[in-house]
Amino acid sequence: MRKYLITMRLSASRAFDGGLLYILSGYLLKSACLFILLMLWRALAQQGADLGGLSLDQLLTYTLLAAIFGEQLNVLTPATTAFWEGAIISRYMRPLPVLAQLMAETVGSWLPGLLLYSVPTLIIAASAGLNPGIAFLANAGTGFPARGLLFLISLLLAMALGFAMDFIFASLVIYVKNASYQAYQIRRAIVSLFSGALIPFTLLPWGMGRVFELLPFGSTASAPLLIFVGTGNPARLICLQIIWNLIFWAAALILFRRSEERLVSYGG
Amino acid sequence: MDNIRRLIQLWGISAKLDLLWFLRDTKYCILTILADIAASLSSVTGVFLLAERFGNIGGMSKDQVLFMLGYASIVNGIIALFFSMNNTGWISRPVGRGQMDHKLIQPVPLWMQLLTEGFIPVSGNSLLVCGMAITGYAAGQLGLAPGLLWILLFVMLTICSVAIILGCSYIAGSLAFYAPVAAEEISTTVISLFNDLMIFPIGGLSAVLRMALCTVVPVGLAAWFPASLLLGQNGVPKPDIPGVIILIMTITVAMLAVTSFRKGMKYYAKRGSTRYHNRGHRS
Repeated sequence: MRKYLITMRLSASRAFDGGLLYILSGYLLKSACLFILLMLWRALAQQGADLGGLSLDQLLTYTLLAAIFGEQLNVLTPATTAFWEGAIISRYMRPLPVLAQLMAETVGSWLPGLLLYSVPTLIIAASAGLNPGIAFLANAGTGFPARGLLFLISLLLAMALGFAMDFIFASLVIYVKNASYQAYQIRRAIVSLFSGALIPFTLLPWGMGRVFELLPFGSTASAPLLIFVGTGNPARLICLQIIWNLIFWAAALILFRRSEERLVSYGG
Repeated sequence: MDNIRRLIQLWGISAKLDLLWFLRDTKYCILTILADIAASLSSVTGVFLLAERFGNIGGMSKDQVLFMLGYASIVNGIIALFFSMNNTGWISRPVGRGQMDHKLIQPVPLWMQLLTEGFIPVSGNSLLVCGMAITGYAAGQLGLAPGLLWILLFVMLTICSVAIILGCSYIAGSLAFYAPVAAEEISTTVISLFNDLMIFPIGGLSAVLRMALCTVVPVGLAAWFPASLLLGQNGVPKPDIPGVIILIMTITVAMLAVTSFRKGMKYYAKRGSTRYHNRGHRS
């Protein structure tokens, strides 16, 4: 365990290698997007739009949490970048399983974001009257410990599924000559539409949300967020997440093992 | 006249190189084109679906939102077509990586290189084509009958929007002359800011916020404001900001970009890049 903790610590400190400007500019962008999206939902509610069973507070909380847990709900490991940069070889020289290293590195890379973006955003939002904690307690009532536990389980399952999906993408990238840019673009397309992280499924037309909720991508973002705001059926959502985890992890392990034989990585 | 001839020659060379990539590595090139199409369509689809669901967002109907999204795709498509290769639009990358030296040893003025070497008409046309198709479809649905003046206004506004996005990228990217590692990706952040925010019809936001988004962080000028001007006769409430603001902002941003980039180049000429070790690796 200590080896993984050290890997996480190294990864967390590496995020600052490019300087504070490097890391803060990304957070500034995320903050601007979050602010505009919150204002847009507010404007929609003011014009009397039907928010698909969500109250304005629930919708704002959903969007805020999607931003705060952005990195956890859209898991991006360094795998494809490492193929591209020729850096994957160093992972094979360390006394740790490659996939476990990549996971530890990813979790470590989340720490600066949680400290420098998520916590400040949460504090600023709470001081502006949008407090997810209070909204959660008001929604869950006396059942808040159980709902809190279900949310945590769902969040963990979402992250686990995110890792499996990333490893599948990484395996596919090996098959298409390290096309990491293309894989990134396709992932971006999927995440922005099918995960529910940007636009909650209940706001989509033609009942598309009900279909998207059943797809694996919905289990990576929408499921824990719906459980938190109290509009989803926790048992159903968590069962779906478990099923997708089993399928995707099996596929990820098989595909990655087979792809390793074809792995060619060069760069610098 | 010589400059124009040279520009056309250089665009021709870039086009030939792009065509060669397509011919020699067709599968990979097509994969790139498809990935670009998927990413760009998905980003506008979300907002379109919202418009479909709610009928009206920020004072715009479903088809008007679609028109705005088509306009946004055209603007992004022009940037992808003319300024993608060698990161000419994402200028903080070559600056931060110390690659301006590569350009300075070429027997062509720097401005001419920046204007021409990013041209990828084969692999980079997908977004522009999608944008034109979306805009054309939306215009048809709206029953627009564009005259010559309207088309000229469309072209002028598109040029302004492209210039504002690239200008902001160059203003921020000039920081990479002074902090090459920390600011290497700052142009990416700026362009992502536009990509992520320009697709929202911001007409429903407060007047102060709208003004801020058309001046301080001019993402509103990248699609919403010009689309509202173009749809002015089509039931979209005219923005309470004078139309000339887009021209003023374009000139201001362009002047700031040129000034900051020139200043940065002077600094670069004195200090060079500190990114490379003696053995050739970049830090």
